[in-house]
Amino acid sequence: MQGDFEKQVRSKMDELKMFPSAPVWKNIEPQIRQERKRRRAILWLPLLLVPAAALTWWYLYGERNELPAPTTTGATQGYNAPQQVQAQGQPGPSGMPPAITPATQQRMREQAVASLLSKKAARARASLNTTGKKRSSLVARKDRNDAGTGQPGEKQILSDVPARTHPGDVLVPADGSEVRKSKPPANTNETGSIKEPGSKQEQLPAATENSVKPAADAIHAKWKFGFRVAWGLSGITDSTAMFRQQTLFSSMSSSPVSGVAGSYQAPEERSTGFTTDVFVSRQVGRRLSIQGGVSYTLLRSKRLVGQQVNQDTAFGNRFSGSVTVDQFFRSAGGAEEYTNRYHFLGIPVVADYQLFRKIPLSVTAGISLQRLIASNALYFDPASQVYYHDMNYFNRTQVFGEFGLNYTLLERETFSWQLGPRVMYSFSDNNRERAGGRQHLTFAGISSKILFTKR
Amino acid sequence: MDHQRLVKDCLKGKPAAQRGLYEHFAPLMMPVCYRYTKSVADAEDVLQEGFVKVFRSLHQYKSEGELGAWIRRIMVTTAINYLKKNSRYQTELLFTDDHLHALPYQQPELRMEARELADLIRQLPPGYQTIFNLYAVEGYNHVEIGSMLGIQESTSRSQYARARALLIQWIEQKNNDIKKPAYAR
Repeated sequence: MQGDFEKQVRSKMDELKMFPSAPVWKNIEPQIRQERKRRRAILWLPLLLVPAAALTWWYLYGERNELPAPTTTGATQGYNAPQQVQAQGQPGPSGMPPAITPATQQRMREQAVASLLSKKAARARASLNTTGKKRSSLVARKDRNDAGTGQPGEKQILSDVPARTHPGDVLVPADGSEVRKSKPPANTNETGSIKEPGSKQEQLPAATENSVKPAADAIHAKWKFGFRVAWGLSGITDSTAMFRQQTLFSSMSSSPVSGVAGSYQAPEERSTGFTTDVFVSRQVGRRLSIQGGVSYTLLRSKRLVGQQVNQDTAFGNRFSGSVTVDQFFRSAGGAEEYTNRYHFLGIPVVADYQLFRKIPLSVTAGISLQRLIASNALYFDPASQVYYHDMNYFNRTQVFGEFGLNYTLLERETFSWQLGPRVMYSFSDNNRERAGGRQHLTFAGISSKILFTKR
Repeated sequence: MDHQRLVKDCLKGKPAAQRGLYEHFAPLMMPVCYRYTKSVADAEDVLQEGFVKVFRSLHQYKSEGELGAWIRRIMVTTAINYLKKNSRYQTELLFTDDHLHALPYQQPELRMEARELADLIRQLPPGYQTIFNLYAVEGYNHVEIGSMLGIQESTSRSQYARARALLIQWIEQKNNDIKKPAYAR
């Protein structure tokens, strides 16, 4: 229970007012602005993805609807037409079944086989089309028109035959006699019927059945291509950061002025970064695929630096020998925030493994060889106690490892959209100064991946 | 000052409102940070960190409570975290389970300025200083202090008793100095 003493102390303390120095607000302001910018970007990102997905959809399906209808009918018609005559013998123009010679039958059979083989892909697409019914009717109409341009005598047969052979259909040879039901004897060839056990033609209807098998084949196509965009936070892990931070604090608390022994290098803090790449993907197993491509990565970090000095100055260091810079920053009195930017071009190789059979969640791991193509990052010169930019300070070629999870949010026959977390870590030391401790660039963010199936 | 309006404008990201909120509350919060730390630089670090937290979590502020009290709680939490993180304070914050000390009955008269009293509190060892601030000034009970600092309630009590005794001793000494004529000091 608190007594009078505590009340007096509290009352006295409530009277007390103290004004902080001006740099406090200067330091707070950029941090809350940065937060606002970050939130705004988070809001914009999904909004940008929506039109991108819509555009992709339009591109794929819009183009598809404009495709000309195949000029050849499905294999069943092409193959069966010469062989099938209506069981009940719908009469020809003369009232008699049309005469088809064995030679004509053979020619038509060959045409049908050739047509089947050459148009297999087109049939598969046609059968996969989500607007299949409409397309089928268009194709059938087209086929009927095509059939009408054939030889006299063939016209009626081609236009009137059903689409495929069904059990129980009666096949009629050239002379019009009934030969067989759906399973003919092996020696019916002589009579002009078509099915030969073990022959290529006999297997074709089965192949046709397979070609009708829908989307699964397209979705699991071996080759795919696509692009990824990941957005998040990047920074530098520093094995000596703890030491330097402690040094910094203890120095600040005593006398934060330059010239005092000890390092004033401010720790680098995280900032936003992103990475994007285009790639091709090869399915190497039921659940495993390998991706390779090219990438561009922007990693950023920030640190507090002191006053900026714009004057040509020569500094000596072990990387460049002597380097002349037109501006540098003092380390003492760090109140200005400086953003280090690292631009990389890279070649990532990534393995993607679907974790569960029924859940579209996959884990991604890989490495990438990255080349630092540009940077404005600062190097802290301990001898001069200043920061300046020296490209030679940084390791230009670095090996990054990456790990991520992808959840498929949308899957269609021609594309899929995946979303998930992704982290990247540079196994290489970011700087060439061994004595300064190892620094590794890192990135963690949300990755969006769109995969297109090669048609 | 209409705090509700200020908060709404801050949430909309208006720089003037953010500056206004800072300028209104910074002079009130600076003494809080000052009491928990040993240097003005550290106090400003805590204040800066605390205000960044305030702006980032302003959307969580419920309008029912007083804005100043809400900000003050954030500052106190930030200060304690700062002390725990900062190596200069860590060794001093190692609390030991001392035996209970009875609270001294002295109720000295506080004739000194507020700043002087704050400086006396800051002269206490960091462990005593923190617990004294939390109990006597912020009004937390020992159970709450125990959970905040990760110590036992009894430890908080004994530390507070020692801190209080020490502070009263210093205050009485100051009072005596004031009573004494200049030549006798």
